[in-house]
Amino acid sequence: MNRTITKSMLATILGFACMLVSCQSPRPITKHPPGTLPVRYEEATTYSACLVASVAMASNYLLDRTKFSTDGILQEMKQADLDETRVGDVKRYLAGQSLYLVTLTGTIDGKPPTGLNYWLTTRGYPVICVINHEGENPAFNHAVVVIGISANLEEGSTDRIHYFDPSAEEPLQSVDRATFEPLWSRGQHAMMIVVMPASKPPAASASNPAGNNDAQTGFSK
Amino acid sequence: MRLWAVLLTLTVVLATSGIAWASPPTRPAGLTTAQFNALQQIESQPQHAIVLDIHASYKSERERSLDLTRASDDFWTAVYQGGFPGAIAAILICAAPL
Repeated sequence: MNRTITKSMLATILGFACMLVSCQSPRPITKHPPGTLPVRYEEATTYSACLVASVAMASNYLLDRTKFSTDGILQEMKQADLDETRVGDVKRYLAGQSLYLVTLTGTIDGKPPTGLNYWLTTRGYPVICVINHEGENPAFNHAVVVIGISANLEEGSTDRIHYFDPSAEEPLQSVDRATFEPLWSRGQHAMMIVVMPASKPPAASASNPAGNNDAQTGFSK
Repeated sequence: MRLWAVLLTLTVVLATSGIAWASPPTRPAGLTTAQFNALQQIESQPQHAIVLDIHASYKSERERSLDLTRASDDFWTAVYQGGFPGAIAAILICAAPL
């Protein structure tokens, strides 16, 4: 009898422990779709911190270690009196961290360096895009991190664009090109890439230091 | 035997389907000085320079209202937390001469 009670108590305690652990653990990313960049997800701790969380994801991926967190960047930007929602201010913050935020208006299949697909599949960088689900109101511009595009060669079907939304219930979003394009268009096709300034090439890419470069134009497909 | 046939068929179907996955580099390819300089020149063009002034925050009206509610809750919690001890202190001060 006593043994039964002890076992049931133990099971209850274990159950509570599991509930506590599951409450405190971050939302899991079950699996990256094939062909996407293995970017580590970073959650936006407030609804307005999507840009900072996106920059943290892209920066950590470039550095190949978890150096930046949403809260850490928010705190440092606040101390420096910078606006965490403004692209220019985030760019200035990253400059202080020896990183460079490339800011462009792009298209999905545009010529380098303004092509989303180029940065993703040719150069291997996650791209921060500003999208808008709420029409033309810029108050609802929202930053996400595009981690890959999967091409579908079957007739009648479209490519899928995979991105991390830092403040969504389901972090990984996959939409077709026709759905993504108007969302991105309302965000003025703004795209950002975190890169190392040229004087400091990333150590991890030493085997391919120059990438697919063209000495004359600087970029090629 | 039938199971093997099913597995083999499934493998063939998956292998020959029209889905093709792009395979990006395993690590980001570094930029040369020429590329970096070219990027900075392109960024300075007016159509790209506007990106600097873009703000990104809430995805929806719901998120914004939730944030406002949270800020309001924080404010009133602070008021109550400070208010009760303040009220008790005021009563004690007023009651002291009696």
